[in-house]
Amino acid sequence: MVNKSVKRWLALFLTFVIFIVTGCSPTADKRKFDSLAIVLGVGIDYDSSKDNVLFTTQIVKTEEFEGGKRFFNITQAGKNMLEAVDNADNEANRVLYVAHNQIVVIGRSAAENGIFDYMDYFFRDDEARYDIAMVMTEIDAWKLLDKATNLGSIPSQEMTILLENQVAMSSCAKLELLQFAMESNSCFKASVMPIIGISQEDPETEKVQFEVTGSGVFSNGKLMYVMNRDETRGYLWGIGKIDKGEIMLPNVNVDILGSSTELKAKIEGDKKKRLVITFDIDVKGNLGEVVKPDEQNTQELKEINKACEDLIKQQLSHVLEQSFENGCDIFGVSDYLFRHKYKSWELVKNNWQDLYKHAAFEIKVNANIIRTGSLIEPIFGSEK
Amino acid sequence: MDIKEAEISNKQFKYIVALFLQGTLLYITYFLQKGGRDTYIMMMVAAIGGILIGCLNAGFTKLYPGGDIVTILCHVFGGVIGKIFGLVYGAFFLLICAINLRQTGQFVASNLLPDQNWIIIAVVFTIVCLYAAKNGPGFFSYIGAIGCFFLLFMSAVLLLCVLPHMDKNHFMPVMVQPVESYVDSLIFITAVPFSEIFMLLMFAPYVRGGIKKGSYIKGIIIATIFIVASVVRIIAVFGPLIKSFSYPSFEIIYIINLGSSLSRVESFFSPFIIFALFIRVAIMLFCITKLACRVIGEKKRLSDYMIYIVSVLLLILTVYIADSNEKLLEIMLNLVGYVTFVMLVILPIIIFIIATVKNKKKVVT
Repeated sequence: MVNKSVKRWLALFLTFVIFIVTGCSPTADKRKFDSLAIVLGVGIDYDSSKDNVLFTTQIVKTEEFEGGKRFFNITQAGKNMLEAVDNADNEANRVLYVAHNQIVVIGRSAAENGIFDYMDYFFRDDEARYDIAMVMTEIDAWKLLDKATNLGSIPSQEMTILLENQVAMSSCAKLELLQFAMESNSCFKASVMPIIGISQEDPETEKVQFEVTGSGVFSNGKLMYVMNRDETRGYLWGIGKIDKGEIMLPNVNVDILGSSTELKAKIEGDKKKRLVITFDIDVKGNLGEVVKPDEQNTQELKEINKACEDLIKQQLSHVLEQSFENGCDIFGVSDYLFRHKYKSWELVKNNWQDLYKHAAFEIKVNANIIRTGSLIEPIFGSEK
Repeated sequence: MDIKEAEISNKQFKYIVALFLQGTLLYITYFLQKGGRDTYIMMMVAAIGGILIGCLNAGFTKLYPGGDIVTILCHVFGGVIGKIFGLVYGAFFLLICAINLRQTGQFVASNLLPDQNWIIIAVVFTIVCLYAAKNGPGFFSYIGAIGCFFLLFMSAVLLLCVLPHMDKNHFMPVMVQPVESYVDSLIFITAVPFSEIFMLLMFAPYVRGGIKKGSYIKGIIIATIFIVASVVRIIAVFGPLIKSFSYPSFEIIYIINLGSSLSRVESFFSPFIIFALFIRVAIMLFCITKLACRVIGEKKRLSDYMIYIVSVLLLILTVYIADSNEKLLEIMLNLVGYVTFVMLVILPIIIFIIATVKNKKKVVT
């Protein structure tokens, strides 16, 4: 008896669930594939002359195409994001479907003006995803998104692949929407956003190649300063995000096999408080290449380890000093204090900016070359 | 009466308790608003309160074997006042049920069917719940164990899927908020959802051998594991944003992306969430209907249609309870939690004390 009732209820329940999950609603027509404009990337610029936001959507062409671009872009202005998106919606004459969006490109103009006002839309929309990559560009975002690439792929996709490869090679910092939101809501943590630029442009075809040129440092949603690739590398050492790549010394290249970084911070002094930051970095490497072995005693692994340690210290110290100078806590020191030394944090939080600008630091690096490849000693160029 | 009667075992009742509490998945929004990053600790402490409330319920059953809420109230306060009290409890349960239904409707309308009116969703939802409630305790006992297993399975899968995004630092610093906020949070979480198990006393006449306290305790433990796991997931993933999202239990699914191939898995998890919400509202509907029938007398013709009357009242209340989800949040945080604490924690304790004294006197005389 009950069994029969359960079966009936289950049928009723499943009907309801299918109705919900498949999105069967009177307005479901809007969700048909041919009535959607599938967005793969968006760009945000700021038009200071009219105090408008410029919203660019990169839409993939779903129908057959012969030659030409596989995408088309729509750029619309608005007083706020919603107005600009609505305008883009109207121009596309389709519903902008953002669930497959892969990248948000922030133009320099928007970055300098502050991007907090534009970010709410990405979280409030029910189709939005939080794992979308965020990048900045020194030019206008709409211009970057309009460049066809040498490989013929869609710019947004090309940029996403570039970022993935660069992150895998430990050459750039990765920033996603959710991470940006979390960092913006933490104590004083500044966000580091990769910068994408154009490396080569074919004057005839106007096709380009993208490259990661460095990182932009954002505090309170505004671009504070820019780091070049070497500085970005120093930052990556500081946050322990270097697992691959090379350490290039004058005559030796070391392949990085892995690294770890431990950040610690403490407040010293009773009356005059002083912030002391310590980085403890552990690197393991493989001797990748030795050139001109006679110019330096490269056979001594100790020497090479020492040179690696010095280089890492130098890169990280420079980035730290730069961050002190700009008052941007890119390493999350304030978060560390808040989470692990709450009592100390309570004492200094109101005076944080001043304290951070005058902080002292100590960098301990332990480099260890654990392999020398297939060779024990150099074959070429050494004294006979 | 139009509800099927059936006897159930204590083991089956244990799963009903667990399912009833597991259905508070969307309430996590409120818990996080109150407890912040320490919500999981508050949840575990509140579960102890829940177990004590379960023991209180079992105590009632011991004093009045097979007696439901109306029976207890009538014994304690006399026939007329007891029924008036019963009516008040019925109205209060209807309010709680309406909040659940409203939340479910809004959740589906905002996250799953964005172009649909939530009222239509609530109506269809109520029809399915009504069908379940009509099948009585036998139905709930039948799907209890399997339902619990499915929800725990979903919780485990979800935990594994979001594991790469979890950061243990998000739990730090621990217990540094003002004491008042912890007390407030504890009162709220004890009241909503744990004290709501008081309404499950309406199952008492159907449980073979009377409800044992072990059934409550085990049911609460199963549900606590489920809810704490959900809270821990959310805190570890969303960190400082835990108070920002409308339905973090669902929105956490948005971040799942395993190997760039398994993502957008809302369709996989949504049926489990909807199932949990269904069972909770259906159990409430059953309890309210039973209570209303007991107040007016089960043999009256009106009680044949009571489940339909209650369903219609429920829908009306659901529509008029708040004019926006922001308002609902405000009502929940500033009113419902405290009223529930008084109605389902303080009052039952007072009633129990009176009942115990009366019973002792009876034994003496």
